[in-house]
Amino acid sequence: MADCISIQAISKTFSQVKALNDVSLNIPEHCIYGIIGPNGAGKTTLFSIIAGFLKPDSGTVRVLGHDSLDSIRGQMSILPQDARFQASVSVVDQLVFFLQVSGWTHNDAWNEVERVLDLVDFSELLGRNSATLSHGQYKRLCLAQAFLGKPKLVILDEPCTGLDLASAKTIRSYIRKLKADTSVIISSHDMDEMQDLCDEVTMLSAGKIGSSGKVLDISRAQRSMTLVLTRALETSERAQLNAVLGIKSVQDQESLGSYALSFDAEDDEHYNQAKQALMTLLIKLNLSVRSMAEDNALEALYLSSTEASKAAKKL
Amino acid sequence: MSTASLSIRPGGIKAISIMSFIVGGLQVFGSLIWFSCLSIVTADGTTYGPGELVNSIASLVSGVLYLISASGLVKLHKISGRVIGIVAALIALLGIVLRFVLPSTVGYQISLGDISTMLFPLCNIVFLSFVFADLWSASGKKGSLQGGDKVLSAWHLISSFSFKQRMRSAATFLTYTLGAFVVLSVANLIYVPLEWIAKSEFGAMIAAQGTQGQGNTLFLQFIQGTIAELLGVTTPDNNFARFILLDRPGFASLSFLVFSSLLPFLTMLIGASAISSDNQNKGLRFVLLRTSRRDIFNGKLAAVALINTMLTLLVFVLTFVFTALKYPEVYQVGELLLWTLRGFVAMVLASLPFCVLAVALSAVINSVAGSLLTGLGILLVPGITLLASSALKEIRVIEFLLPQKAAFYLLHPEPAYVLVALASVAAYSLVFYFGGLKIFERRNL
Repeated sequence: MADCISIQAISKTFSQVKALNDVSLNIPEHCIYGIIGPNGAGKTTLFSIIAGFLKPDSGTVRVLGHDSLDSIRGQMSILPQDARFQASVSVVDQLVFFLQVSGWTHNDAWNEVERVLDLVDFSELLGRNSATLSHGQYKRLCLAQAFLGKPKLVILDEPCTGLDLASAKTIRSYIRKLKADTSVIISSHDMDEMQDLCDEVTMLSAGKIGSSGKVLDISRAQRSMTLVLTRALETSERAQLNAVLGIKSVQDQESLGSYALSFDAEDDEHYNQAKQALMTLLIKLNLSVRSMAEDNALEALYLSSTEASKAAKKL
Repeated sequence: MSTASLSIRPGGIKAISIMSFIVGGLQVFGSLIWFSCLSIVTADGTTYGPGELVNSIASLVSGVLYLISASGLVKLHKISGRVIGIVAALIALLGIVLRFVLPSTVGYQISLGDISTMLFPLCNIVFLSFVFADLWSASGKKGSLQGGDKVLSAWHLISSFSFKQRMRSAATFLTYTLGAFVVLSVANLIYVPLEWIAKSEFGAMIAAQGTQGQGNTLFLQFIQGTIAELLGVTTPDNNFARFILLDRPGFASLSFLVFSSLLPFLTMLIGASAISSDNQNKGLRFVLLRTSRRDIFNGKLAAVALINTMLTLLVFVLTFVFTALKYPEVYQVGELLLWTLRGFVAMVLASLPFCVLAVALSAVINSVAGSLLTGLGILLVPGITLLASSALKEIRVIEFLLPQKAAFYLLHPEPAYVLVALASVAAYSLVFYFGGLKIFERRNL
């Protein structure tokens, strides 16, 4: 699979703060690629450089096979975090205008605007002024702007933040459909969303690339779950849990009766077998389970990376 | 429910509403005072002609309608806001016209007050009829932008969109109404006292000989010669000053000169936020991925130049109408029209470097306040230099930072001066254009 974005050793400094430090990254075509990282990690700076808003101090960026953005005008779109629509012109006029400047006729642009507004459930707000929209409605409008014109590359910075559950579900479903013709890059702090949507992810921390890889691989490598019982385990019971084939460790959590279980199953089959053995043991020991939930692999990766980054800073 | 009721009020609508409230209030107040005075004056048997009466009634009616419109515009009501506002403006204009057409007792002469009452209704009609028409149109009306099945150039689209957006701002409406008002008022304020003195000197002679006699010639020479002296542009052999103030309609020339000194500031008010406002709210990012920075720069520049040209046109039309009505015996209409046209073209050309400078500053400075203040600061440099030059003559070279005098020399009788002025306008425009564009194309946004 060819790369839709190829970034080589880019760095960017803002008044002595190094936002990106020698970042290299290749993002394949037709996949949903996630960039995760804490606030201030450099995600928005990275997106701004890919979009050409910011010029890197050093390094090169190739987007859709081109060094110059002039060659791919209209083929890339972005959902920026803090961009505002004009308050004095209706939103529909602005969306039609965006398409027209990228070479669409007015009539085609209008039809496309109707399509994307329908997609984000915005049709009833067609003539509205952007200043009169609620936060969620505004977000849907910004998403409509990003999906306009069937771009080949869409960059979505926090796409579902602030959306109600139904809207978020619709948007996620559309993003999945986009993958057939479009490459999508997403950043979000919602790790469930990232795990659900992304094919691959990269961890960005303090301007540097950390772990990266396919979400499935990360999920397999980071298998863990939180088990909450109605009482604390006795020593013998803990030993029996530790002895279950596939369970790597059982660690106490803050609240009484709550345990973090990590697995070292090689594949899905072994993992399922380990879970089944665990259930059998719990029944056998007559332990009442309050809740049992699989942990998000990306969240574990995220937390471990940020903890490591903090520790490195302290040193 | 109409679109307007779902929309937030654009800045221009707020400005029209506030101005309607002020102008309407003043008109009602003034008319009521006039009617009170009328009852006192007519008690001694003096009668007033229909001209004054109709004008005062029109002023009262339009004043009341302006007040209703001010309230309606706040609520964005189509009838009580837009329709009544346009009707009020039409009645106000009709009142002014009827004052000239119908016979009046005192012999009516156009005054400074008439300028204000002409300016506001004209702008009111244009803005409410055209600029804000879509506020009251059907929701999400297809075709509110242009194009059909044609692919239009990006800079053209950006120019149209930016023009629409900027025309809807409060700043543009206020610049149009107040900017034009200030120019004509300043010119009038210079002219009126001279006229008053001249009348006291030559009034009796004119009355005896008529406007074709020597008294009228002396009257004109006194006014125009004094203006030339006041402006400090004349010496016995200064053909230029004689040309614009004596050989050509002096009052019109005076208005042009006042306008040429104010125009850079008005241009800066219109243009300094052209790109910086979009950059400040990051809305520019929606467009940056879809077209080149050069197209954005060119489109914004075209919009600012168009708004500036329309402001100049408004001032020159009003100068022409005002001068023709006020001094019909002094200036031939044909001569006045030709001179006004030349002044208009000269002013449009002379304002070009300032339009480019304003847009260039807005392209290289992130905030609206920053680009505006920087622009105004730059415009003040030649004036400050002039003051400082009394101590150090060499400092006057800084005056060449800007083509401030280009407008002046574009009116010169000798073609060589006009050509040099044109060349300087082109040179400054190109320097500002390429300087601004190059930085804009390379900078972080």
